Amino acid sequence: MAVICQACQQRPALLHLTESGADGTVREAHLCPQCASGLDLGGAPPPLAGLITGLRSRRTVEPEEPACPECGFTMAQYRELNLLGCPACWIHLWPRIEPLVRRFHGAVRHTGRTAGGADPVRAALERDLAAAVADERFEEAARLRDALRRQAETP
Amino acid sequence: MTDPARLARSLPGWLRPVDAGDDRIVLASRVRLARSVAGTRFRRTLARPEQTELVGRVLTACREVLPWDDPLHVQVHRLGPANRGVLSERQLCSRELADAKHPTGLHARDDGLLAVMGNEEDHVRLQSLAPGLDLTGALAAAVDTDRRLGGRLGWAVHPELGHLTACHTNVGTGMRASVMLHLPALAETGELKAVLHGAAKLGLAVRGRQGEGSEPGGHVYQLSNLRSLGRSEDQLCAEVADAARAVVEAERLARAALLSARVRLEDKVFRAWGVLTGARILAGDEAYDLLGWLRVGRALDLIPVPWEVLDRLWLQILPHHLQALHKEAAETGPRDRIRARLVRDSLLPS
Repeated sequence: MAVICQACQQRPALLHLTESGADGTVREAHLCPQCASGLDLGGAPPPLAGLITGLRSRRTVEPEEPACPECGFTMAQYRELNLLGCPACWIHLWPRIEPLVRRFHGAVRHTGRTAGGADPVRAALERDLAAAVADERFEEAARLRDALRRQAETP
Repeated sequence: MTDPARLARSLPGWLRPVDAGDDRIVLASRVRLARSVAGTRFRRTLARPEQTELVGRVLTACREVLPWDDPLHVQVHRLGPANRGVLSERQLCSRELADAKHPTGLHARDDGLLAVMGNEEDHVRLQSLAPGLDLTGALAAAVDTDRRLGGRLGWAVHPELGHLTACHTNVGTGMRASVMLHLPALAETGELKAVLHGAAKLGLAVRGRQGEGSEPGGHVYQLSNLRSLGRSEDQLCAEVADAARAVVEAERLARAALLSARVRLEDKVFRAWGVLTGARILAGDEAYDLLGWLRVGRALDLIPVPWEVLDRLWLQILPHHLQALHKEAAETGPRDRIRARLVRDSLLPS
């Protein structure tokens, strides 16, 4: 099972840091790339305990709680109810939902039937693609473009 | 068909033997598909008038595209509690839908094998039941209904994630394939826990008779897939069916083990017969357990009661069915007396 980032408590931790104390104790920190990118690791790193606390306190100063632009639903509401607000939440809150989906299903790609499907998310995908390109988030833009291509190829 | 008493008297299409040799360890198979209508918010962010409008839209679409004769077509929240209970006791709708205070709709085929629920946790939940172990048949009927209804309502489908549902545990196929099993011999030999634990280790869910959150009653369990994404509907059905076959084999072995000490099994069956044909007061749980042992006795040819009598009783002794059939069964005291009389009269017809 994926380790969850100790700072944001949401995304999978991909960066694992260890610290050996003078008394022989070993401390560990597990962070996701997003939280880790906010660290200044040049020079001597601060003690891990303080580092995590710092990240947490920064999180409370600048709460990053994205809301779905279609229905206003937030991840806090999802965590409370375990239910999303609308189909578009799946697109707009996906970075926050993905770890939950991956952990529960062990997969993030549907391989079954889609009969009767309408085209509800194409507009949202196109809008997100335009935003990703404008913000120079090219990795995400590539993912969205691939998703749009696959959708076009779906009979 | 909208008369609950008439409904309570009838036998649903899934509660019957598949052939003369059916030992009824598998009671029924069910495939449930969760679907969202594109461009419509999920229930938690939908105002009540919009929910009413959604239920109307779903029910109208059912009438227009599903070619079912004389379907049950109701706004469930407008029914009285006893009638709603009848629907969930015979598996026509989920307990959540039957208990809901918000607007809800149900469109079910006359034989109870296919049903569409409107405004449950998801906009639409359609279910397909089949007698015995037949998830393939249940899936085929569900897929046909899904295609017809989706063509009219337009499902919210994502190119990578498949069907988008209100909860992340249902995304993808939106499917829950389950097999309802009657396992009294495994319970009696003390092996049940290990067998069900084995199924859970395979990534399957084990639930009580009424689905999520319910207690196992009369040793009836539902075995179902937990994950809905990353595997096709056919793969998921095959996994559940394989596990169910293994559990059925274990129950058969347990019955054979009990039969080898014949007196012990005969004692269970005929003790049940004695109580059921003699008791003047019968509580629901007790009657359900004892009828379970009569079913084992019938499967092993120890008693000659027809399956139809046992099947009918198994539904009609449930509290809401009993109330639908006998108005005075609304309170527990009279209800237990009425249940005892019904069981006696059915097993010992004059």
